[in-house]
Amino acid sequence: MRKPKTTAVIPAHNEARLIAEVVRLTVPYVDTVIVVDDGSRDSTFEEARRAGADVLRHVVNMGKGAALKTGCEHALRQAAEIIVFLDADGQHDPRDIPDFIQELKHRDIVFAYRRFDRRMPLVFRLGNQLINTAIRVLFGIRLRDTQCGFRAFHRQVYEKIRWRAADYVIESEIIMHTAKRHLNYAEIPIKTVYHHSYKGTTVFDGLRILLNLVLMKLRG
Amino acid sequence: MVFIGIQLVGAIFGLALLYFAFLNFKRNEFTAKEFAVWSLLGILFALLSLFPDSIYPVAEAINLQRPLDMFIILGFIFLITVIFYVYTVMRTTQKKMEALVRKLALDKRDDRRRKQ
Repeated sequence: MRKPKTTAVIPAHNEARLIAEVVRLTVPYVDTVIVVDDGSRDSTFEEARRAGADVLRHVVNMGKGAALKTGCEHALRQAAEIIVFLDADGQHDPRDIPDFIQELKHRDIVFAYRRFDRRMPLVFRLGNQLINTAIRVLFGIRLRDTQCGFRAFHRQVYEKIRWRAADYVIESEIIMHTAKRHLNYAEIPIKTVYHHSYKGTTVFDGLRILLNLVLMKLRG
Repeated sequence: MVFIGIQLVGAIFGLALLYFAFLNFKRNEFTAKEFAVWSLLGILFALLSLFPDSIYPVAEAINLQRPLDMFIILGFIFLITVIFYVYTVMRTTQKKMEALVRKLALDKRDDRRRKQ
């Protein structure tokens, strides 16, 4: 059976230090790596290109959601059949990609969950749990790690989950659309990579995500 | 005629509004119409601050006990209208900007490929 054309989409903002390594590690598992340089002020663009990625550049920083949308639009132009999202900061291990593709044989969309341990700051663990609970209550979808950006889906699913959010709210919005459209989903465990400085959403971002969840529910 | 402190503050605010409207008009940030509207608002605010009794007839006509209540209610209505308008414009501009930035990114990428 022919392997589906798989494209990785990696949004990147000021990730010159790690992007080349992320691209090089991803290349063996996909057919194309698309990096969307989201208005970086460092050499993210050049590093990603040198590493072999197909790089798009936003002239100004628009946010993760906007960058992923640009990447998806380009991936679909390139006839991608499976699209995989992963982060540019090296927290997602590309060696997990085959597990996504395997699970996608029976699913529309596959999410991932990290094992929360003491290396993740407590406030992030608690925040994640709170958002997971909010999503379960509001949309009836049970996931262990709703804020993990490592996910994959078939090309025809893109129009069903296409998001409005330009920022981190995208993670929750995709889940909301998955629930609303009754998509066949699964979640798989992934290796969690930690760096010295934990980069992620802040408490204020978490509060904003919660508020947006309520607004999305009201919007229907 | 004696003016109390808050009246003077209100008058200064109204005159400041007039001044900034004029500055923006000079810098071509405001059209003549925008300058006229904001100037009128500034002048009205200054006059009402200095002569609050002038709105008594209007307040009585709509059964409000104190002109200040009318002032506050109208003020809130105005503020909320402006905020709503600004928010709508901002959201529309945000969407257009995202679409434009995306188009630029895709077009530049295609140009690079053509040149290779």
